[in-house]
Amino acid sequence: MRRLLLGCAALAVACSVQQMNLSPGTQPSFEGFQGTQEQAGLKLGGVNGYLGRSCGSLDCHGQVGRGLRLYSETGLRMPEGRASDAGDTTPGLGPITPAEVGQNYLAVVALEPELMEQVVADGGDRPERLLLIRKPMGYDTHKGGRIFLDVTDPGYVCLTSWLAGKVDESQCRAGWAFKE
Amino acid sequence: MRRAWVPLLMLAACTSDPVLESRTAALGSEDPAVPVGEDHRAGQPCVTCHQPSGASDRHFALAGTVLWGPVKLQGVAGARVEILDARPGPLPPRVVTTNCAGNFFIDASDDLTFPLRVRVVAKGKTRDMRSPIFRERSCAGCHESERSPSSPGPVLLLGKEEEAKTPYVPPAECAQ
Repeated sequence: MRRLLLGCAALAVACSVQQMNLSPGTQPSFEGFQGTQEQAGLKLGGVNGYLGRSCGSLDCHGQVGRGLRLYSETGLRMPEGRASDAGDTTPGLGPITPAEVGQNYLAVVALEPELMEQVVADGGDRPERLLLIRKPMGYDTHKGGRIFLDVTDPGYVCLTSWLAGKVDESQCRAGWAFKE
Repeated sequence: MRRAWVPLLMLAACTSDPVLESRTAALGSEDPAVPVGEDHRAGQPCVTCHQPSGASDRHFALAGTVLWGPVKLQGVAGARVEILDARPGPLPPRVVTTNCAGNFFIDASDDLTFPLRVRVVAKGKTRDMRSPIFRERSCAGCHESERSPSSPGPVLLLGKEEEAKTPYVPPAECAQ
């Protein structure tokens, strides 16, 4: 059942990407975003796992007013009725759903879609062109301060390897494990 | 003479914070049964007022309210709130104890380095926060009075069933 829901979420994301006039294949991959590490039928690794745990708390990007709004298991949940696969929609009381992962992907790739397309087309070269990297690196004002210590920070490697087309899931996991 | 007031009015307009003002107004009136002091406004976001630009002269680095269970929503007296902050090195957690209303607070002079890991211990029960606090200084900033997709609800030591089995007994000095 979970696999079916994941498939539906991937399809929904693909349709949404087309609706947003983002060319499929020119944005970083959804598969790398959701990760391959499975637990109870849910994929928990990847970029989504890192962002949810490191950035998606209720007092940071787990807020609906954020440009980069992130759903996560212990942070903001997608309201009941919006998620076709919703269980308990209270923070901390249910695993993140495929629909939430899909919405997180759209939130990330829609931040600066043209620029992200360019970075992906360049094989992930100069990722600091993106706010997604600039802010946690401390190059731009970030209310949460500087998150990445340097370019060896697991979170930095997680995001930039995804932009380069081959996400390093071990670094995504190390990133949030490090923060915890 | 009238013109002299214009810059002052403009200055006043610049120094007001409409977001903070609306948050302060949303807190509503004081409960007349609870005098203004360390027991007041239990469960509300303390640092709305207790911050340098807030209405109070006393400023907190972190503050909140610990409740026993979700049915009676009684404040827990004497709960240990253990806070592990992000200062480097193996440091012991800061510990602060709740008062009769279940309120606790750490003065702003006691600087905390975010992110924070927090757990609450009382009467043999322990509750760990599952996620770190990255910058919110009021527990009720996230722990609102009702559960919702954007809030886990109040800070509770017990669930509904546990609360039914284990009623809260306040210490003698807090019994009304």
